[in-house]
Amino acid sequence: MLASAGVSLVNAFDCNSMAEVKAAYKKLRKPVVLKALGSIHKTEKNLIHLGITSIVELEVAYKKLKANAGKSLDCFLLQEQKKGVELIVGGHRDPVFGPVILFGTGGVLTELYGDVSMRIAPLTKKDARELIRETRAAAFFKAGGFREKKANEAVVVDLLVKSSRFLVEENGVQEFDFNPVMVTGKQAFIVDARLMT
Amino acid sequence: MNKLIEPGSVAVIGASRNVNSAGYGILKSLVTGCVLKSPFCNGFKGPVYAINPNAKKILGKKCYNSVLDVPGGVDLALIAVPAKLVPSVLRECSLKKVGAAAVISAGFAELGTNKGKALQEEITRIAEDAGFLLLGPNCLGVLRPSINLNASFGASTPPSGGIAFITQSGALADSIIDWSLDEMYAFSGIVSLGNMAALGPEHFVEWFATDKKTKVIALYLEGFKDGPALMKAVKKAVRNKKQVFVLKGGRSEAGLKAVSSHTASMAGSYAVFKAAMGQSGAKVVDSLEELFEYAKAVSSQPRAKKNSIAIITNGGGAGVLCADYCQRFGVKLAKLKEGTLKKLDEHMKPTYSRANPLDIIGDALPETYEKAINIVAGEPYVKGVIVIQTLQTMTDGERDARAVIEASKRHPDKPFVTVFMGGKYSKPGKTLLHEAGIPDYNDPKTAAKAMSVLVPK
Repeated sequence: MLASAGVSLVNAFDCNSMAEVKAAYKKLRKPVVLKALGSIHKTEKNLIHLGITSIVELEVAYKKLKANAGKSLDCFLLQEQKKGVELIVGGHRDPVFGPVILFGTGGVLTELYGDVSMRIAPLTKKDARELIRETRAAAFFKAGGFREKKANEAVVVDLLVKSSRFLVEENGVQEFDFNPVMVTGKQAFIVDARLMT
Repeated sequence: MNKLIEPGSVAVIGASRNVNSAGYGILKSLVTGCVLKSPFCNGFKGPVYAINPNAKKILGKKCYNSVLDVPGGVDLALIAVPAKLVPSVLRECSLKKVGAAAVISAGFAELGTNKGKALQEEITRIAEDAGFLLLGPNCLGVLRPSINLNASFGASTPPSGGIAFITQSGALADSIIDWSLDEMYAFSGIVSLGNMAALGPEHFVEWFATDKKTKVIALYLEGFKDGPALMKAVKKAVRNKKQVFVLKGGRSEAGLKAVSSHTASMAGSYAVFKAAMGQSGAKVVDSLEELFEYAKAVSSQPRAKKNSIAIITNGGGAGVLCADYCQRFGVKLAKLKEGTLKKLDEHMKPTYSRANPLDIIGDALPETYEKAINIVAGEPYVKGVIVIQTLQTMTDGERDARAVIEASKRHPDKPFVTVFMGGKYSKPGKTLLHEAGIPDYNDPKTAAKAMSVLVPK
């Protein structure tokens, strides 16, 4: 769904067994990250293992995550690990105003920071730029970035516009989280996407 | 909509002899302008018909049995009969081909009962089928001071001016009217929405968006259905150079539902409301005071041509505070040029500040204020002025106020905002300023905020 909306995700594979995980590992650029899917707050629940650079590490991680996930386990996801500024792009349907796009500082502490702003969808490029500027995360988009960390405005604007169109067009999607979206000076990668239908 | 807000003729159905009833209050408001006297009470000039089958005459008006017996046409029917009689009265209105009906009566959906809801649906259908507009039910009515229309049981009539106040609470409107008599909030219209069976805030924002009398639209909202329609109406108002300020009641979430995403946990209904209003060009405010502080400034003062403002004060602290708040709210202080300072040097005491804020020192006499205001306001690069007066033994508030009023007349393109700080002894000066339409506040912070909506950003 997201690919057809023009939204690009990090290279990754869904896996349901150790054999599938190992096969996927060979096709991805290292380091990789293994995630046990099925619930939010994966970090807190030890459902994510970062920085895997060998098959041995992969096997250990797989067993650990499988045990931690227990019954909530849906499947595994093996993906390339990205660095960058952690942002959130979210979608939500408000009963009065309809589809809403949310943007701000992402990552595991996003609710704690509460550094988010919103726009009613669909967004124009101008809306998207204003939305970025309303948050403290705007500091990353300035020419010099913030403490060496830079985020590319054009790619995030593009992501916001496309995400808003996606929400408007896909009536079945009630809400979504792209959190984190890892943004560098050149690219943006959706590292974790969660869609509620 | 014109028949509702600018009717040529009005009928009060349920006009009453009981001075404690809404039906009496409405008729009196229409005939005399007010129940409680104000300097702005004038009776409505068009025909006012009283409908009451049990009375011959009320307040000098002949009573008719039914709206159908009224000899002329009826643009606006105000209905103040018991709820259960409203459907039959509206059917008569339909036969009479009234332009609009405002149902003042309570006892509909607000009760929360199935019976109340059904009754509200019934009257909505009658109006819809007949093709006339329905305001309410359970509302206070409509005021349009410019045509002496007080079609409400609001306690009094406010001054006529540029504020359109659209409110989901009628009782709030009542107190705001009383408040306006002190603060001189001047209105192009007041509309009490009531239960919004048919007409919602978006319909009135849309109407006032093209109203020549309106400079600012102040909204008090609680819950409403059509968010996109309200956004569209607000955008239209903003395009037509009306500033829109919104206060929302009922902001606390009804209880957090199980959180399924980060987005849902952060996109609460009030946060979305703020985003939607901001995106449409409205300013969301936090209190009634703020709503009317802004509304008054915008309705009574011109917009500054540039963000370049001067502060004149006879008190250092008040000036410093005001400068701090100006910075916080985005009001830029002009740097006074050497030429300006040379002119000021001739008239000010040597200890004056020679900078903006222009501190003309505590013992400033009215002549000093006059000179300072005239020199500074006369500079083309100063686009607006905040005048602060603290009360010293030699201060003459009334003359200082007149100096501001005169300067404001000489420079109709520059906004003036004042802070005549104090209480009892500052009142005469403050009253003069209020009456002249100069927004005066007691706190430098409020003045800075008011100026912030008068400067271009």
